[in-house]
Amino acid sequence: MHDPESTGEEIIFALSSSPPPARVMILRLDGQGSIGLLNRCLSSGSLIEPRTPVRVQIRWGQSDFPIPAVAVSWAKGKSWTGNEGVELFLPGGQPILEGVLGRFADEGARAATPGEFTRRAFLNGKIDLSRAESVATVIEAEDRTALAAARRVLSGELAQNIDALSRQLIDIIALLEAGLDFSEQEVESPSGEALEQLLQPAEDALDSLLERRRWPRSGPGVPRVLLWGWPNAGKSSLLNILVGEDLAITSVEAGTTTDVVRGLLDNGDQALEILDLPGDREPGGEIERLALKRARDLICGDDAILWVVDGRRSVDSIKAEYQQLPEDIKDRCLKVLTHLDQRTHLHEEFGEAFWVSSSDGEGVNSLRSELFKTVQLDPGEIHSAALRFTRRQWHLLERCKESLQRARRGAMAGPELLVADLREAQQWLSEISGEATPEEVLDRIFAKFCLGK
Amino acid sequence: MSNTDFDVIVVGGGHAGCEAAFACSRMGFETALVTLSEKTIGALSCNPAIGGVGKGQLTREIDALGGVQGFITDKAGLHYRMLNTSKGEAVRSLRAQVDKDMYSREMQSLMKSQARLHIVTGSVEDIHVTGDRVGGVRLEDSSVIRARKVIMTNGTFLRAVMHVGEEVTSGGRVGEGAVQGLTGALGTLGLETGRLKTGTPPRLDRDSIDWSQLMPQVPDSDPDGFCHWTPPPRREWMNCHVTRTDEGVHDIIRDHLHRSPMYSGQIEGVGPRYCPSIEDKIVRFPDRQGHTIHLEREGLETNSIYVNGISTSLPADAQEALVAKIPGLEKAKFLRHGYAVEYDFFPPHQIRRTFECRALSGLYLAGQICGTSGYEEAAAQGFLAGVNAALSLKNEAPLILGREEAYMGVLADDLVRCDPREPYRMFTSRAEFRLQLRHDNADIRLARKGNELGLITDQQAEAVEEDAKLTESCVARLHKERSGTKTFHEVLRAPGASWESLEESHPEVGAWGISQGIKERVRIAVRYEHYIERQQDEVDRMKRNEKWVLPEDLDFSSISGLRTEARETLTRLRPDTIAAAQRIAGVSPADISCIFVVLKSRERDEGVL
Repeated sequence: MHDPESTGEEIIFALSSSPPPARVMILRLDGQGSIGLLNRCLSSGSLIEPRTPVRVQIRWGQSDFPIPAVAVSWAKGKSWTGNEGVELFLPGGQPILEGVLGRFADEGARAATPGEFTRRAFLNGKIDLSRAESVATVIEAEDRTALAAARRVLSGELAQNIDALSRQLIDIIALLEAGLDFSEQEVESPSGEALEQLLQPAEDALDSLLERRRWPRSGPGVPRVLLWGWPNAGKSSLLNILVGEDLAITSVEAGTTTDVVRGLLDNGDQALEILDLPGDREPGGEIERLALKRARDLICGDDAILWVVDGRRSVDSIKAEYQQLPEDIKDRCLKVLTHLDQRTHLHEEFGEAFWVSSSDGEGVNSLRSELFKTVQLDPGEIHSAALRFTRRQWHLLERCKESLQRARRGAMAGPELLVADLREAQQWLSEISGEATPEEVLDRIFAKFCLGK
Repeated sequence: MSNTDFDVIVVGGGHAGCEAAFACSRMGFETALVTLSEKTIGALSCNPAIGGVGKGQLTREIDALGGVQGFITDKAGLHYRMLNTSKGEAVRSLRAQVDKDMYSREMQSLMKSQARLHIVTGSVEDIHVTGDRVGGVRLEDSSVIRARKVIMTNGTFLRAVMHVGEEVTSGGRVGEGAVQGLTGALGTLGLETGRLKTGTPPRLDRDSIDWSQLMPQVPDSDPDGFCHWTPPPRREWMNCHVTRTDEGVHDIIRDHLHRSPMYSGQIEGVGPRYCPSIEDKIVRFPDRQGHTIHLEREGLETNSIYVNGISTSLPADAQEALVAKIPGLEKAKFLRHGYAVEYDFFPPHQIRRTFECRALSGLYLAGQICGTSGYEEAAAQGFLAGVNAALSLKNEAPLILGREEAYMGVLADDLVRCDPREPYRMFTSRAEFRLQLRHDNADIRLARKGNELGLITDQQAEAVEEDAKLTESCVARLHKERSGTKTFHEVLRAPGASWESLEESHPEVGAWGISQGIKERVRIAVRYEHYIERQQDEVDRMKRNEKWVLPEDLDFSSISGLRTEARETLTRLRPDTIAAAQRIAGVSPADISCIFVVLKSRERDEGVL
C-alpha cells in the first residue's frame, strides 16, 4: 500500500460523483501540477485564485465544442488530500466523461486506483487511520442509516471517542505507575474501591461505544460464521451445502492453516460470510495453535461459531471433544452434528444441537435461519447514533475490552500486572488512532504528584 | 599502534569513566583514565546510595555483564533495602546506602590494580583530531596524549557553576574546579550543547542532631546484595532516620524564595521534575503540609549526614533558618550548605547507540554529559561506551541491547532519540517490557553476553545457564503434571499460593528435589509467564521495525507528506530505525507510513531485496 506515487508526486484523476446518467458529474484531479494541467485543457477561463469557483470551457476529445464547467482549485496543503488539487463540475454524460478523462490522460495524469485519494489524505496526515478506513465504508453504504453511521466515523467521532477513552486509560496508568516508581515518596496508588471507580467508567465508555456498532447488510464487513472442528467432521461438505456452491478444497496439504475458505450466504436481506480453516491438525499440536490464533483474528463481536462434529461418533467421544474445546469457542458455539442420515442412535444428550445431513440437505434450512438469528440483525433495533466500524476497528475495540476485563479480574494479583493489562488495553486503542509514548505517562505523573526526596 | 600512547583514553573518573576504563582494559586495550584528581575517582557527588527503583536494575545488569558498580557497592554497603516488596518482583529494586569514602577507596584500588589501566592526572581541554577521526586529547599544558578512541565522561564539570543563594562559584563539586575549554572544543566539532541544573542538599554534623526525636528506618537483615559473583555482603548494618518538614519550614522557604537562584533567574539550566529542590516542592505543591526527609549517614568514619529531601540553592542563612525548624535538626550544625550546580551537556541524540558521536568517529560520550542523572545511569552508559569502543578496536559487532533485553537497552535507545529538557532518569515505567527485565533475572538475561565480551568467566556463565535450564525444565514440568483438572502451574499461579502450599497439598512435588534458589526463580517465572507471552507479539513487531534501518543520508526534509513538526523532530533526533522513529513523541503513524514509502522506493531503486 505504500507506493511512492501515493503521496502526490503524480497527478491522478477520478470521477467522484455518481456516474452518468447523473446530470452533474464531479471530476477530481489531485497532485502537484493539477492546476496547470487543467489550465492547459481550457479554451476560456483559468484557475488563478484557489478556492474560488471559476466558469471555464473545456476542450475535450476530438470535438470542436468546448464544454462549460465550473472549476475550483486548492493549493498544496489546503485540499482534502493535502495535495494541490482541482474539482470540476460538468454536465453528465458518458461521452463527455470519457472525452475529458481521456484529455487528462493525454496531459500525463492517470486514473486513481481504488482508495488512492484516501490513502493520499492519510499519508499527508490529513485524516487519521480510523477516518481513512471509514471512507471505504461510506462508499459502500447501502442505505441512509448506514451512510449516517459511516459519516459519523468519518467526521472523527470514533476517533474522538477512542481518544477520550485512551486518555482515561493513560490517566489510570499514570496513577498506578506513580505508585510503582515513586513508592518511596509517599505516593499511594488507587486500589480496591477507588481503583474500581476508575476502571468501571472506562469499561462503560467502551461498552457504550461497542453498542453503537452496526453490521453492514452486504459487501465487505458482513457478519461471519466460522466453522470449527476436525478435518473429518464434515465441515467442507457443510460449507458447500450451506452456500449452495462447491467451494471448499477437498484435499489440503498438511500444515496449510493460513488458507481460509470463504462462502457467502445471502437471504436477500442480509449476507453472512461463512469461513472454514482447512488443514490437517492434531489436537494440541502447533498447527492447531496457529489455527486457533487465526480463528480469533477472523471473528469478533456477534460473529457466530459452529462447532462441527461427526454425528456417527460415540456420545462419549463427542462429549470428550467438547470438553477440550478452547473456552472462548466453547462459550459461544452452536453445536452441529453431521451425517444425520447415517446416525446409528439418537443423541439425547445433544438436544440443543443441530443435526444436518450434507448428502440430502436435511436440517440445513433450520441451521441457516438460526445463523441469521444468531448474528442479531434486526434493522428496527439499529441505534440512532449507530457507528459503522470496520471489522478491524471492532476487533481492536474488543481486544481492548478483553484486556480491560482481565485487568479488573486480576486487579488483586499485583499493580504491575494490572498496569501490564491496562497498557495492553491502551495499546489496542492506539492501533486505531495515535500512540501514547512512555513520556506521556511520565508527564501526567509529574503533573500530579510531588516527587523527589 | 606505535604512533599512539594508548588504545583508549577515558576522560573522567566518575561512575561512567570507571566502568568505561575498566571494561576497555579488561578487554585487552591499553587504557588511560585522565582525571582532575586521583583522589576523586569513584566519588559519590551527591547522595550516599546506589540503586533504587529502576536504577537498581541497571546496577544489577552492569554486574551481570561484568561491570564494577555492583561489586564496589557490596564492598561499601551499610544499609540495604529491597524496595516495593509489597508489589511483584518486576518492580522490586534494591537500594544500598554506602560509605562514600570506602566506596571511592575500593574503586581506586580496583582501578590501580587493573592491568593495562593507567591513571593520568590532568585537565583535558581539547580533542585532538587526526584526519576525520579522533586522535587523542590535549591537556591544559598543551601536551597531547594520543589514542585511537576517546571516551568523554566529564560529568557535571563542563563550564560548571555552583550556586548557594546569590553566591556563585565556578566548579562541578564543592572544592573542585570546572573544565572551561572543552565545550567550545566539542562545539567546533559540530556538537550542539545545552545546559542543565542539578542540586544537592545540605550536609549536617551527626553529633548536632537530636536522634531521640527521629524515627529509625531499619534495613533488610539478610540482603543478597548487587553482585552476582561474590557472597552476599554481611556486616553490622546501619539505620537511616526519618523526619519531616512542616508549615513553619515552608513559611521560611516562601520568605526567602526571591533569593533562590532558581527563582531569581540567576540559573538558566533546567532541573529535574522527579528530584525537585525543596523550593520547587513548596511552589509546585502548595497544598502539601509536609515533605519527608531521610537522614543518611555518608560513612562510618565521617560525621557527615546527608539530608535527603531538601536539595536547595537558597542562601546559606535561609538554609540554616529552615533546617532549624525541622524536628530533630533544631541545633544542627552545617558541615556544608546545599547548592545547585549548572553544567553543559551534549543532547544525546548526537550519539549512536554505541555512544559514539555522530560528529567524530572514535569519540564517545557517556554519563551525565549526555544529559542524564544518577550514578547508575552514568555507569551503564560508561560500560556500554567502553565495551563498544573496545569492540570497535577489535573490528567486532557492537553491543546493542534491545529494549526487551535490558534496562540498559532502554536507556541507550531512549537517549539516542532524546532531547532532554531535564536530566534523564531511569524509571521502571520507561521499560515497556519490564515484566521480563527484573532484578532477579539480570544474570540469566546478560551473563552470556558478558562472557562473550570476556568480562564474565566461562564458569560463571555456565553456572547461570545451568540455573536457567533447571528453571525452564521445572516450569515445563509444572505445566505437564496435574492435580485433578488443574496443572501444578495453575495451582502455583493462584493468588496466595506458594511452593510451601503446593508441596503441602501435593507432597510428590517436594520429591522433585528442586533447590531453594531455583524454586524462587520458578515462582517468579510462573507469575509472569502469561504476560510475557502476550507481550511477545509486541516484541516481535518492534524487532521487525528495528530491521528497517533509516540510512544516515536519509533527508527527512525531502520526504513528501511528513508534517512539519515530524520533519523537524526527525531531522533533529535522527532515529536510526523505523522502530526508533515510532517511539518519538510527535511522530504519527501517518508520518511513519511516509517514511516507509521512501524506504521501499529506495529499496526498489537500488535493487536491494
